[in-house]
Amino acid sequence: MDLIFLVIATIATLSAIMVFASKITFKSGLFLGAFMISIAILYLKLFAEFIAGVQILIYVGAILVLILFVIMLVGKEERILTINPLRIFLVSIMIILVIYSILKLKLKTYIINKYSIEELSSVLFEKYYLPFEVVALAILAGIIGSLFIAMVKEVKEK
Amino acid sequence: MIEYIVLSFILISIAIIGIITTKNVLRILMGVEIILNAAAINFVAFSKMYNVLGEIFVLFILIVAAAEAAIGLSIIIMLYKYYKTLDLEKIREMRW
Repeated sequence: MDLIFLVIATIATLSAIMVFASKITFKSGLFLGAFMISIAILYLKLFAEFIAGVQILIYVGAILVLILFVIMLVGKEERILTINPLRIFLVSIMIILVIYSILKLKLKTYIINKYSIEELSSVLFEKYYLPFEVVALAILAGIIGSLFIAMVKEVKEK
Repeated sequence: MIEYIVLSFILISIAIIGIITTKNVLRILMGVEIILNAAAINFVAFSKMYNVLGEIFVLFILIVAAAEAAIGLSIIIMLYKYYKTLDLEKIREMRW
């Protein structure tokens, strides 16, 4: 539990809160981008450098850009919801109880600190090759499906 | 390491509270992405204690999240074309 982890974790938590708490939808999209980049830095801290690179490429580079495109198409502002102190009190008590029970877990205190891309690639392409191909087909089906949903020529007005 | 698990729990709970209290459909989609990312950091933290299977599963989570985000965004575009608004208080056709 050192200083870098505390700073990055605080940035991630505040970005996640600000995704829902800002009035302008585009700003909440940008806070989502900050959240994803801070999660990628945490992956680097855990010696998972391939996952960090893939996260920046795919999440920030493709998914976030798509979300920002759709926000710019259908932008909407929204008022911040009212604050109810009783709800905040009850939810914070539940969160403190769960965190207390998590801290009682007896986990290993060391992590495997070597960069893992060779082991990951050898296990992925030898033992788990079938799920790899199946997931590639799944994303192909997703692309074709999303094209097919949005390809209607005229939309009957409500 | 236990601080990653506590962080993952805090992020998932923030995202769930945000999803059920917002009225904007795009914020719900962004909350779903926050949940997926928080679960992924949990997987990688556990993977670094034992063996490399958690990272492989995180790769699959990433790919499936990309497919799901694309389909969700196309549904949102069609929703906007049909209802002319994205306010969830007004889209009530399937509610009781």
